[in-house]
Amino acid sequence: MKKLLFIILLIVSLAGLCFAQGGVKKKRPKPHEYGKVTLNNYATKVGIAPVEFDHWTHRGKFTCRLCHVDIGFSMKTGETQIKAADNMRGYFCGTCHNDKMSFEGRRVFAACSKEFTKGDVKRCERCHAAAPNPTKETDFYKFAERLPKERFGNGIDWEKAEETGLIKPVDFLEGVSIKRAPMAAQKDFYIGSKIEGMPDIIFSHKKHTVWNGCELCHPEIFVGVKKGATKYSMIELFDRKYCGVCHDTVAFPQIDCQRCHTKPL
Amino acid sequence: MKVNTTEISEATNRRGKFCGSCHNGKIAFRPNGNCDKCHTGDIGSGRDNYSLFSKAPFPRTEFGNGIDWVEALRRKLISPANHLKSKPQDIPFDKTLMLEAEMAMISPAIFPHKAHTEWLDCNSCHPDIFNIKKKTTKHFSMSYILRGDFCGTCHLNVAFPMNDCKRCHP
Repeated sequence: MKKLLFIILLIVSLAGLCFAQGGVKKKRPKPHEYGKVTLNNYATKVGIAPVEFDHWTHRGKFTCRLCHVDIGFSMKTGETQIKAADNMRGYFCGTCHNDKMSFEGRRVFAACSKEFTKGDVKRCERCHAAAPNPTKETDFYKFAERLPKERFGNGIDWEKAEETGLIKPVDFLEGVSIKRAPMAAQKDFYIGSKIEGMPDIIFSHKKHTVWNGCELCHPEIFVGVKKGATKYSMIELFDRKYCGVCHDTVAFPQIDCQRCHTKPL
Repeated sequence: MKVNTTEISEATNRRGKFCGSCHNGKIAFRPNGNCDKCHTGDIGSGRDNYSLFSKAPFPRTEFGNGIDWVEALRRKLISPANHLKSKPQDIPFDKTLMLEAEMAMISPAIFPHKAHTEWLDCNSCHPDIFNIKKKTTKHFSMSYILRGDFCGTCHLNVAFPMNDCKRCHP
């Protein structure tokens, strides 16, 4: 009996050794794959390929705020629970993908329909792709070619692209967004780093409100509108909390230390 | 930093990614007409080039490549390019850490950030390989290091190998 227990313990501890996850370098997603979200609450259950949503196709055209505040998409995979019925009713993807809205001179294709012909299946497959689409990859590199470069993530400096007017993300949709009185942009401020030797962070509200307004971060991600009210450290950030909600998923990843830790020592 | 996980293909190289970032005819030799320079099928095919290269007056070690790369850099015998297009901002982090050994009679390992930041970027190791908060890296012990985790990511196959105990445990 004791021998059996010992053998079981040995196997379990060896198995633990094999699955230890620290100490290895993670593989970086390719530039065209960064920001990809798989939407599959119901798709495979009903026998259709899950949707592979690429953020880059929309980032150049719309602000984060428009989709995540006005239209109401959740910022966590699997939380929004989009159904084809929602799209057909004009919610979520269906807000624009309804064959009625016109954008950049073209009609936006309808997402999901109750009845469809064989010819329509191609439209379904634009999102519900069973296999990775090589055209999408080439489209990405063609798109990225004319934009300023960055080190990680998509390899695109989205901030600079917006600043220099190469992209003009839309922040207001008629019939969807409600116009509110704009609030004054807050000043830049320093966030002290806890480790001696690491430069402090310079946080710019202006750079963020261009994409997010106020509502995207406050109060759900950052409770304290008062400086210093929310306490956090890099450990939580790497765990996809606070700044890590966006910066590691869609915005430039946090391995680019030098983009935030910029206050001269 | 793991073999066969980058997914390099001829298409990506010709597009200017990975090998193609330099091997485009402008910085280094281009792919056209040079296939056999890399696709040799022989992992030891660099031996002639190496014997020529190592004849230069580098400081020596007994292990690994036989060249003390760190000392060579300090003496400015080599000046490896640090960036291709845009210069990343430097964070001059210089902390030296003393890592206690698990076994008695083994001197603690001295870890100098400076010797590493001369070659690497912060994100080469943080936060994937090493946690940024002191003493919070889980399973950080010699048995894991020796099988390729943590320090072993580099100090088993590219940087000086861990046979050279005294270089870390003086």
